[in-house]
Amino acid sequence: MELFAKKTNYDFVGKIRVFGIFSAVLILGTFLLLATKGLNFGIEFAGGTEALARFSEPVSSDELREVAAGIGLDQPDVVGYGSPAEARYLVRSRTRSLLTPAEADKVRAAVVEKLGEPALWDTTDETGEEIRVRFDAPKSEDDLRTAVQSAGIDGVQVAVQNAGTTPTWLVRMPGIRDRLSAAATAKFGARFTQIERLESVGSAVGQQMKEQGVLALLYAIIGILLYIVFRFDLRFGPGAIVSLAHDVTVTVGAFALFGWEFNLQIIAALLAILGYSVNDTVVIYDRIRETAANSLNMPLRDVMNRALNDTLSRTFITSGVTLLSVLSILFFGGSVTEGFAIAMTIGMISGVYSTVYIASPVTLLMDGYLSKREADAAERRAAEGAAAPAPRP
Amino acid sequence: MKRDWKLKVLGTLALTVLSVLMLVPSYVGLSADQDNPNALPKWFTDVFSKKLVLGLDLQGGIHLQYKVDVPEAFARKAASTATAVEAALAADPHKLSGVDAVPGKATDIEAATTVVVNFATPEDAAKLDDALLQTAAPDFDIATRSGANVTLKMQSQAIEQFRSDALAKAIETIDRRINEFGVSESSVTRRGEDQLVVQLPGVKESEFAAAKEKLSQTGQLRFQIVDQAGSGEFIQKLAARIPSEANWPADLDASLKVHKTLNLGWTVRTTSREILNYLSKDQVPDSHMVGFEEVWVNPRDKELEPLENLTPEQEQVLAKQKPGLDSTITKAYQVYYLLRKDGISGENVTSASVGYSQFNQPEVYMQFDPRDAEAFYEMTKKFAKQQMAIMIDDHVYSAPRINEPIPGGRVRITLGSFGGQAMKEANALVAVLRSGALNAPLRKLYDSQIGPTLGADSIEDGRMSTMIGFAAVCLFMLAYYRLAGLVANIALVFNVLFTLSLMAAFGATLTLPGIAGIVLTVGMAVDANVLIFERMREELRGGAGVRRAISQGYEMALSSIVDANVTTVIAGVVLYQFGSGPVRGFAVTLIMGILTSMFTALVITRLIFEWQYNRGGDEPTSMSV
Repeated sequence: MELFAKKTNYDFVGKIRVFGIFSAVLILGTFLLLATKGLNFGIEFAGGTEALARFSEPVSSDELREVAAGIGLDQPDVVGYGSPAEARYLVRSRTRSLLTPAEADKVRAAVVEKLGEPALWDTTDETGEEIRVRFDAPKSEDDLRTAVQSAGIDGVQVAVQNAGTTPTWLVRMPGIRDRLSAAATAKFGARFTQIERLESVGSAVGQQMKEQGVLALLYAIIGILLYIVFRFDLRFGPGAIVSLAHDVTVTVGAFALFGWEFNLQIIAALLAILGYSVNDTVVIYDRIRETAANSLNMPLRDVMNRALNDTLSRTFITSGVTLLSVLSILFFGGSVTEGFAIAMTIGMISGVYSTVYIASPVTLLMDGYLSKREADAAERRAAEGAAAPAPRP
Repeated sequence: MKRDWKLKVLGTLALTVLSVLMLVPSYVGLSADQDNPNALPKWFTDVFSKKLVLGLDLQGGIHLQYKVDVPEAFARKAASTATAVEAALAADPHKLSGVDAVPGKATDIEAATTVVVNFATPEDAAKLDDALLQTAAPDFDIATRSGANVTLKMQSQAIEQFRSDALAKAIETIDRRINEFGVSESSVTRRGEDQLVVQLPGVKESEFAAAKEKLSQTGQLRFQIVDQAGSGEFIQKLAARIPSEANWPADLDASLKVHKTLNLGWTVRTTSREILNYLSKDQVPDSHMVGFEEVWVNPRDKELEPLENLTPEQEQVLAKQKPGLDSTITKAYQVYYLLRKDGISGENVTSASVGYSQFNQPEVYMQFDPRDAEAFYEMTKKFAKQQMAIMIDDHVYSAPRINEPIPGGRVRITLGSFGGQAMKEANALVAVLRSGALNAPLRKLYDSQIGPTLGADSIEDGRMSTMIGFAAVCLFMLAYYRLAGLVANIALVFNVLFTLSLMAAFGATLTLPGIAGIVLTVGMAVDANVLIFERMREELRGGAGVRRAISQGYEMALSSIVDANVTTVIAGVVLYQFGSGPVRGFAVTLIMGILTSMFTALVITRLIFEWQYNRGGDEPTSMSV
C-alpha cells in the first residue's frame, strides 16, 4: 500500500507568501485572543478549589451549582465529568476559603474581647481556616471555645495542639469539603455519594507554576535549537524554531479560542509537541542535506522541494501513526487526559503543516540572507581592496 | 548464519527474560489481594526488590505541598534573642534599666535576623560588648553602633545552619507523622529552596480529615510531668480494652503484649504503633495526656510468646494479636501517663549541647530563655523527685527524673547508659532539644485528595486507551507495510515490555498521564520503522537488491531517527525538571519509551530482517515491505 501512488512534485517552498500570511494571521489571532479573552486557566495556575462530586445517579448541574454557590463558593463552575452514567461532576471555583477576611477578623475580635490580646495568632495557610493561638497567661480552653463560637460561625472546633502551662490551641473553621458534602447531602439526599477528589491551590503557587511553565517551554526550545545548530548548520536553526513556536502558539490559540481548560497537562502536551514536531523537520533537513550533497549544482530551492516531495509520505505516515495513539487517548482515555490529547492532536496537525510550509521556506530565506551578507561582505572587501591600494614607496 | 547475529539474539533473549522477571513483583504487587502479600519467594523479592508504583491519581491518596516559612522562624529566634539580651543587661553586673531590644520582623531574612538594642545613654550602650553577647546570644555579632543604639546581626554561618536545620526539622516532623499512618509508600521530599511535598498514597476518603489534622500539627517540643501514681491504673484500663481475638477489629493489624518490667515500667510490645492509638482512644481524661517511648527490643524476646520466669514485679499482663497475623514483634513502647496541665513548651530552649561529667560520662546541657526559666523552676520545685518526659507530639524521647528544683533555666541531664551508647543517646537528645526553637511554620500551598474509586476508574480508562491505541497502530502497520509491518509490531511489544521493566527497575511511579505517555511512545516508536521502511521502498524502487535495501534503509534512516529522538528526550527531560506529581509520570514514560524504542525499532527489527533475508543461500528477489 502506498499513500502517494505517483512520485509527487509539488512546489512547497514557493508558496511561502500564501502560507506565510496564513500562519501570520493564526499567530496574530492567538496573541489577540490571549490579550483580550485570555486562557481559561485550571486551578493549578489560577489558584482556587476543585471538587469532584460523585452521585449514585445523574443530577442537574444547575442545581449542584446552586448548592456550591450557596455555601459561599464564588461563581462556581459545574461540569459533568466522564460519561453521564458515571454521575461525576467537577465543581470549580476561585474560592480557596469559605472564611471571609471580615469573618476572620470577627473571630479574632471576639477572642481578644474575652481573653485579651493573644501572644500568637498565626494562620497555617492562606485559607486562614486554621489558626494557632497562644496566650502568655494560662487561659481556659472552654473560654476560648465560647469566645470563638460567639463570633457566629458554625462548626468551629478548638483543640489543644501543644499542651503546657500556656498551651497552643488550634482553632479550625469548617472547610470546603465538609460544607460542600453537608450541603449536597441536604439537597440531594442519598443520591450524593461523596467528594472523590478535592484540590486546593494557593494563588502564589499558581503564579509560580505559570512562570515555571513558560520557562520550561523556553528551555525546551533553547535545548532543541542548540541541538539543531550543533547537528546541522546555523541556517537550519531559525526554520525549526519558527515552526516549533508556530505549533505551540497555534495550540495555545485553540485553547484560548474555545475556552478549554489550560492546566499542567497542557504544558506537558506542549513540551511533547515541541519534541515531536521537530522530528519531521529534522527528517527533512537530513534529506535536504543528502540531496544537496548528491546534486551539487541544484539551487537550494529545488533541493528543498525535491527533499520535501521525497519525504512527503513518511511525513504523513509518522505523524498519522502517532495521531492514532493520541486519538485513542482522546476517545478512550477518560476525562483526565482529554485536554492533553486535544492539545497533542492540534499540535501534531500543526506540526505537519509547519514542517512542510514553514520550516523549509524560512530556512531558504535564512540562506538567502546569509548568502547575500556573505556576498556583500566579499564585495565590500573587494571594493575596499580596490579603493585603498596600499601605498608603496 | 553469522556468529555476530547469534550473539545479538542471545543478548536480546537474556534482556527479555530479565525484563519479564523485573516486572513480576510489580504484576504480583498490583494484582494480588492484600491478604496474601508474600506470594513470591523471599530470594526472588530480595533480588528483584524494585517495582512499579502506582501514582496518587491511580490509587488515590493525599498530595500536599507546603512552604516552610523560614523568615518567620528567624523572627522567632530574633525575638528570643532580644529577650535574652535584655535579661543579661538587666542582671548582674550591669543592672541596666531602660534597655529596649527590638527584634526584626518576618518580612524577609535580612530583617528577621536583626535585633536593634536601644539604650538610655551611649555609656549604657558600651556595656553591650562581645563578651556579654557571647553568653547571651552566641549566634549574633555587633553590626553597628550609633549613639545609644546597637544593631545586632545574626552571623551568616549561623543563618545558613539555622535555615538548613529548620528545613530538616520540618521534614523530620512530617516524616514522623506520616509514619504513624502506616502508609507504606508515603514520602516527604524537599522541592526547591523551601518547599516540601508530602504524598500519602492509598488513604481513603473517610480518613482524609483525620490525616490532614495530624499533618497540620507542628510538632512542638515540650516537657511534661509523668503521673506516676495514676500510671498503673491507666495501663490496666488500656489492657482491659484489648479486644479478644474473635472481636479483633478488621483494620487493626497488630499483635501485642503488655507487661510490666522492673526497669522499664509499663511496656507494650507490638508489631505496630496503631494499637496504642486504638487502645488509648477516648480513654485519656482531659486532665491527662499520653506519651509513648520507643524502647529497645531484646532480640530473644521478639516472638509473641509468654515471658517465662517472671517475678511478680514483672508480671505479664496480656498477649494478644489479630488472628493469623505474623506475630514477630518489631517495636516496643513504654507508655507514659502524663499530667496535661503540668508542662512547659520547649519553644524557648535557647541552646542544647553535649558535655562531660566529672567522671567523664557524656551528659546533656540545656538552657531556657529567661521567659521560661522561671516557669521551669516553679515546675521542678513542685514536682521534684518525679519524672519529666521530654517529648514531641506523643513521642517521648527521654524521661529523666527531676533530682532537685532547677533555677536559672540551666538544666543538666545525666544519662542512664555508659560509653558509646551514652554518647549516642546524648547526641540524639540534643537534636531533639534543639528542635524546640526551630519551629518554622508550614504554610500549605497545594492540597489534593483523590479517592481510590476514582483512581480505579482511571486505571480502567488507561488500560482501554493503551489497548486500543496499540491495536490501531499495529493494524495500520500491518496493512501498510505487510510483513515488515509485522516485524515492526513485534518490536513494539518489546518496546512496551522494556519500558515498563525499566520503570520497575527504577521503582518509578506510573500515573495516568504516564499511561498516556506509553500510548504516545507506541506511536512514536513505530516512526523509526516507518522511516526505515520508506527508505527501503525507495532503494527497492531505485533498483537495489533486497539485502542492500535493508542495509541502506537502516543506515540512511539512522541519523534522522537519532536526531528526532534526541529532541523528544530533551523536551522530556525539561518536563521532568519542571513537572510535579502526575505530569512528571508522563515525562518518565516518554523518556524511557523513547530510549527503549531506539533498541527495539533499530536492533530487534534488524535481527528479524537478517534472519528472514540473509540466511545464506541466494538473495531473495523480493521483500514484503
